[in-house]
Amino acid sequence: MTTPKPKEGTGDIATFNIQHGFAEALVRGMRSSFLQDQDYHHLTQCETLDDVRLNLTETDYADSIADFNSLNPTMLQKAAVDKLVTEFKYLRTQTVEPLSTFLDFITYEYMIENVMLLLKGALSGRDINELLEQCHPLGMFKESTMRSIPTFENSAKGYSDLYQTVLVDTPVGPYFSKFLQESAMHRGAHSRNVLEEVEIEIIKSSLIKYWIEDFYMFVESLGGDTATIMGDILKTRADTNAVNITLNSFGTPLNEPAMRSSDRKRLYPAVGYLYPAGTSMLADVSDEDELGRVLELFPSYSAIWSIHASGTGDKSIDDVFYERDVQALELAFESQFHFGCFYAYVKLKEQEIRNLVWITECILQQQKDEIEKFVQVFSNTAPWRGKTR
Amino acid sequence: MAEVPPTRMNQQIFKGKLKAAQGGHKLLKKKADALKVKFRDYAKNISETKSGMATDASSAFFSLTQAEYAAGNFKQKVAEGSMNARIRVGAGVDNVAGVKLPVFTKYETGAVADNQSLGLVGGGKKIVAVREKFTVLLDMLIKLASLQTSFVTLDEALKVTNRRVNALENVTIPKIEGVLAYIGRELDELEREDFTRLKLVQGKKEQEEKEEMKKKEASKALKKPGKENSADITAAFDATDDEDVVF
Amino acid sequence: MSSDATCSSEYCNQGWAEVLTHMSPYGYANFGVAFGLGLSIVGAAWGIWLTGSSLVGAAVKAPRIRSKNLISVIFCEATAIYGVIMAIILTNKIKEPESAGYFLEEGWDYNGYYYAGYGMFSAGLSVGLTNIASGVSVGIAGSSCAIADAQDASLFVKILIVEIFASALGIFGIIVGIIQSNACTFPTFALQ
Repeated sequence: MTTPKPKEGTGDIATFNIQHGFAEALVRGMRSSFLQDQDYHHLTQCETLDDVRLNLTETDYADSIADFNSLNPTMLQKAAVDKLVTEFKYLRTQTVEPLSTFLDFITYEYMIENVMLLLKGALSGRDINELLEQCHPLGMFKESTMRSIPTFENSAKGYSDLYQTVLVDTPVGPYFSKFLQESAMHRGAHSRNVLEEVEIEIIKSSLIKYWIEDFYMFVESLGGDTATIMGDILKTRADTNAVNITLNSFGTPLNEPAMRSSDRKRLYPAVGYLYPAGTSMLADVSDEDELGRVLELFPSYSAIWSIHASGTGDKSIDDVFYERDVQALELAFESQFHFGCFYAYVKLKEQEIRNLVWITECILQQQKDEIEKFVQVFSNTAPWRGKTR
Repeated sequence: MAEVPPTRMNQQIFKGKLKAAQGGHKLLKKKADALKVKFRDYAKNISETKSGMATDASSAFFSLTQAEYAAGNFKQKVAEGSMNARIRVGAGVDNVAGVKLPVFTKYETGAVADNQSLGLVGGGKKIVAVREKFTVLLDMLIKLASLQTSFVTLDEALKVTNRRVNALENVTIPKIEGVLAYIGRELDELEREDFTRLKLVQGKKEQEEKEEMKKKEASKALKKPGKENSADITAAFDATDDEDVVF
Repeated sequence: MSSDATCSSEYCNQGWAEVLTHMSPYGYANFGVAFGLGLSIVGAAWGIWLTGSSLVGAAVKAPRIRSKNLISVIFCEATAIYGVIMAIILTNKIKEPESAGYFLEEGWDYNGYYYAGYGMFSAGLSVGLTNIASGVSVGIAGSSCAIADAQDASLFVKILIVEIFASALGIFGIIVGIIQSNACTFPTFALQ
């Protein structure tokens, strides 16, 4: 779509290591830094956050939290994200084409969020330094560019200037221009109006959709195992987004009949196992029952849906999706000589950070019976591993 | 106390005062009791609300944790959204035994719901749950704020009333009573003095009368002297009678 | 390669078949040495490359693997050594004629002569090609070994066995190569 095709492939089993062997081995070495079953066990047994801190000093997070006198979930999250970003940047510096482009693709997702944050913050007149602090560190691009985003004047002309001069240069610029083009075609509105009228989440979802499509095209053009494994991960991601968007649109203006086929349908990625038959059916869905009937046609989703529909409250649909994501991402580590493990590493680390925050929050809020409700990464006791040990 | 001239007039005035004070004391006592009942009521209500809120607040914040687990960090997005309040708090007044108590009530401003599609790509349901839970929590918070403010106001009012009751009971009424007693005492004293004086005057008069009689008898005796001696002079003589004669 | 189209003189080669059949057996034998050694070393280098990049990468996070996993590099190196051994054996078998002259002597053993040339060429090629395969195979296994060892030390020995089998492939080559070259003896003088 927007990213040029890679000049060379990833290489096959005998040639992959020529360019990417070191980086791949690095990321696989980092895999050992994931918290183990017993680490999680110890963490969930903790009574206070000090215990958590003590337990974390036995893990890979020791250096990140070494300077902390006390621990709270926000600090822990920040430290963990910083650690992930440091590792990711280290990886990024060790890579060459086309892996470096692949890694950049991973960051685009965060860039989209950051740009949206900056734009929206600029609209409500926030301080730029304050906004920059809230940006996800993985999605940072050139600081001068980031700083110049909110400086544009608050007028239609200012915004068209913004797109033509600043956003075009950012890696996510093409997604924006595509979104604006489509919106303009769709409702004949100016960019300013689009920004003010369309909810930030919807713009973000559209951009993410373009990103998934673009990313998918990119991994397909890489070919080989990368295409197979990453293709699968991105397809499930696209499907997850489509199902979630449909499910979460119930009760919002997006579910109104007029909006369904025009606005909501445009948020469904044009890749994935549900595309195109499933997504076109999803476009007409108006409530949970209908959604359930559509998903029943797809075996892998009917299982997930039935967990949601049974409504025991024990597991939400988000948990089930997370579980499936973790399963798919872990699989990426099961084979060698492809790029999937880089994406999987970042995503699994994110899951681990989520888990840590969850555990610390549970301990902080004295919700001990909920503490086990997270999706463990690389667990020996995960349901999809059968019974080992 | 001493400034009050002990007169009948003052006694009447103070009796009136005492009556008024007692009446006031009774009324204030009633008010204090009414306030106390209300106060207890509020205290009970507050403790109930608080204990209810403890679980509600923890479950609300926990649902926020759950939502953040599912949807990532969405606080900024909420913060960056439009800042038009959907719910505002209005203040009313409640009257308990003449004490004006503030009452907070929640009303919706009718602003358009913002961030409806938050968590569109994941966690939307959880965010809806958070929204519901925090709305309930907000209701409770407003109720608690209302109760708490009323409680403090009531506490103040109760203190003032009690002080007044106590002041009437322990200072004003005893004082008036003291004055009354003083007036009574003084009046009694005066009465007694008058009595003695009257007695003395009477005694004097009697003596004078006696002497008059004596003189008359003496003059009679002069006329008929033997007869007079036959009358028991020594018996009629009283030494003490002489003493009072101060010329 | 049609001879009539491009070249009709008697000094012209009549296609590749003539070029190949007219090559000297000495040439063949030396090419055998070159291919045997060269391809073996290509295999070894390839393997070390595959293993090495993974080894250093994985050793960043798990430094304990670096000396243990040198054994994978040594396995790769072994294929180069097979090539060198074969090259030495073959080189020793190439003997020049005793009486050097412009022509070979009368009664020269052409059968043995050509047999030796072709045999040594094939022996070199057998060793070279098997060693390439072996080297790449050991390299891939070694690469996985380093990564697996970094993750779980108990996997090292298990993958090492796989590596040994991969390495054995090269040994098959060298055995066959030696047998092939056994019967190859260059005649040094004419038969009586």
